[in-house]
Amino acid sequence: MEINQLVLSGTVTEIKGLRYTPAGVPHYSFMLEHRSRQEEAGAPREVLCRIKVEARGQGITTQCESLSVSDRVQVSGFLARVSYKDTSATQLVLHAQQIELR
Amino acid sequence: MGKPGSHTIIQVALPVPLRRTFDYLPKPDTPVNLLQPGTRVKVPFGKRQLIGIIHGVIPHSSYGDDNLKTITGLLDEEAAFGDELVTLCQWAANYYHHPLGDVYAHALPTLLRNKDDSWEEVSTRWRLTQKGRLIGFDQMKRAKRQIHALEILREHPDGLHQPLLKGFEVEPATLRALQDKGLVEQHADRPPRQHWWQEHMLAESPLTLNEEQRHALQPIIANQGFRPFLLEGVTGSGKTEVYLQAIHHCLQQGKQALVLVPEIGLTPQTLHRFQHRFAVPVVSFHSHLSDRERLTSWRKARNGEVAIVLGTRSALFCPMENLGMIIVDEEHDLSYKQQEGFRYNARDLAIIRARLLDIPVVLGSATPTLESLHNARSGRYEHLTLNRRAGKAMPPHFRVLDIRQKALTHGMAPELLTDMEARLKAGRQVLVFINRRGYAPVLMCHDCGWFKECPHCDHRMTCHANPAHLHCHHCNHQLAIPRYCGNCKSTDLRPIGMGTERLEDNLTALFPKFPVIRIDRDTTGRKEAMSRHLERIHSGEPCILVGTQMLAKGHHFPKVTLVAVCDIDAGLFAADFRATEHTAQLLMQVAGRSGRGADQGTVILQTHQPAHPLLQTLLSEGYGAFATELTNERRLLGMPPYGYLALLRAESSDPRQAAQFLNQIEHWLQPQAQALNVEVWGPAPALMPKKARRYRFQLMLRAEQRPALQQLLKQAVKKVEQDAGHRLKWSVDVDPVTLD
Repeated sequence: MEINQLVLSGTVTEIKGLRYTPAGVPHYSFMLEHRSRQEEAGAPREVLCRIKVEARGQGITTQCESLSVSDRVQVSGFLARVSYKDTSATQLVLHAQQIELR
Repeated sequence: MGKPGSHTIIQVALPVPLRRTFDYLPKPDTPVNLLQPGTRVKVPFGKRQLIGIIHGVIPHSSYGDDNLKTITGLLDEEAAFGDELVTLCQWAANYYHHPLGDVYAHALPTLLRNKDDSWEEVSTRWRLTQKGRLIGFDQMKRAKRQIHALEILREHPDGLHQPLLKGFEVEPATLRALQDKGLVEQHADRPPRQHWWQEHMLAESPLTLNEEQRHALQPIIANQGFRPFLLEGVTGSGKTEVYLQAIHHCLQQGKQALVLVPEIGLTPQTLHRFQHRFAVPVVSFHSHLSDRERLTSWRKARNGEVAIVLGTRSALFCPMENLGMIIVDEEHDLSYKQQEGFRYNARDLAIIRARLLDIPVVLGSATPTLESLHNARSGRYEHLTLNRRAGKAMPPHFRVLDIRQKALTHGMAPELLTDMEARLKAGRQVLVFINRRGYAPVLMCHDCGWFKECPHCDHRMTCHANPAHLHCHHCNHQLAIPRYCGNCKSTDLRPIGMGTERLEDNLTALFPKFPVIRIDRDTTGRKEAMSRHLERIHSGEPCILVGTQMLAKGHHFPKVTLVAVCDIDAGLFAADFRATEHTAQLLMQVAGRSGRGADQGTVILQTHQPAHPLLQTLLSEGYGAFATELTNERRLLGMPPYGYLALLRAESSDPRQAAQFLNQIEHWLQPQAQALNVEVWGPAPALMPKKARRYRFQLMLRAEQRPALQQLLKQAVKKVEQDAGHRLKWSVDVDPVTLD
């Protein structure tokens, strides 16, 4: 089986908010900014990335409701393309399975 | 009165799918003069009893006179249909190649189709016979109930009606026993018929006609005998007033009038207008009435108790005692063509009925069909035109809004929203037209692009928000909104596109101060719902009307000064060769709702195709020029009005069966078609190849001459009837109006 598992920590920079699908499934999304120092080619370097986090379903969206901008969180989940329109499938979203406040 | 001799055979048309009549013997005691064509009879048919119509009386049956069954009984003393309707039904059965019995059944009100009761309003009165008056009670032995009944009836020498007798505790069984002894008899009472004619026919004085209206009215009322008129009048030009005055003239001659309209439920004000104008009785005849109400209207028309019948398609078959004029309003409307079963066109049959009666017939429209225009331009119909709006109303001003690369808010350009706001603030009403009901036409998975299709049709299911469900508008299949994508199981399903419900939501959010009234089939389903909506609109408060083509039909909203068409593009590119004609008609009709009051109206059309030739000609030169252009196109293609069409449709649950069947028919037909100079195309899949679990194919027949097409159809239908099994559904559609 293929592996698709990402753990990423960072700061909430923007709350996109809660919406419901026509069948009533809650979808919550926010932007996560990650800054850290990582070892590469034998030397430490600065890393910056931002990614959209999408949380779907009753359990995890309830957790998200207490989030606010500048909260520090650790998100674990999987990556998926942003939409069916992105045929190259290079624009990615982090689908959260677990969110922990840090 | 003669009794039927041994040489009286009745041919009966029965509502069965066979294109023939059935021979029966009359009951021996039936007077021959009651065996009139058009009379309802009950007959044994296999194990069932069916109600049929007498088609004719012949001396000998080709099935052998001895093998015939006897009818169960005559249902009416007077024929349900007069000669003229019998002839009309026969003509229609012949022309549309439909079983005669089914045509008759269609022409009857439902209650007469299924119930044995006489169409006449008859109440049974029981009274004593001579013997019953004289008999001594001692001769009655101990029949206490019978003696009681005789006592009651002796106190009422004129007899009593059944319900009253019931009040005296006299049961029907007792009366029948007495009848068998010859002591009492039944008498059928018919309420007196109130003829409609009266000295003063008008309840209000007519409006003064303008010059154009006078010119249009004159030939109609000066006319004697059969003559078709095409009254082509722009929207708001006062066609109805011309009808009303033409009808008044007709009534003064002592004759009734029949007015066909597309849908009465949608335009109750048309009925009100007729009822306000005339002091003589006007009845309506349409599908929103109960079966009982329909029968009452039918009976009154039949007995000459009403002056005017105003009805939808099926009213064409309403019997009239002395019909003097037929009017077909909005003659271009597709609802005049029945789309299933007996596929007749009420507008065309109106012409035939008028010819049979030798009376005038008026077809009216702002956007006549190409066929009618062609007939008018070639002189077959007299062409009457109204080019100006009546009163002070001016024609609406058209504005094509190019929405390519525009930032749209909920599908509406900023210019449109600004204009709407300005008008609402000035106390006017705005109509936003979108010919798609529901919330959105598609429910799509945003993660993978999958969308929900109807499991039974080749079509996406429409998303409805209130109540939330998915609905197939083709087969009526309904589902709860799925939680997960059917392909990738994602939950991110989104409604895509715009329907009336969504537009209503969006407009409510954009203009919170103004009410939004949505009019489509979902908000007008209940009886009177439409009337309530219309009342609100007529109250004149500033509001936004959102609706489908229901809003396009003949309404008069004087406060509407802006009509917006969100998306005209869908209608510009359709596979049906008539689609452009229908789109143009719809567009002009919707546009016609704008500026019917004192202020000039505007029509804004949003399009991605501002240079489309249809829009260009239609808007700059008008419907007439557009129709000419389209007619020339049809001439090159040999399509109606230059050529005649018929479709042979077949559908089967097996994906191949219908196609194979039509293939065989096509092979069989081809040599004869060539001899008659008729083209046979296909079989091809229908525009919607799968509908309600059935695979649909069609053969198209095209001829330059109508008789050749008819001749070939006759052979084709005979062959199809012979060869089609029970699992294959098929139909023949003469002069189809849509190819789906």
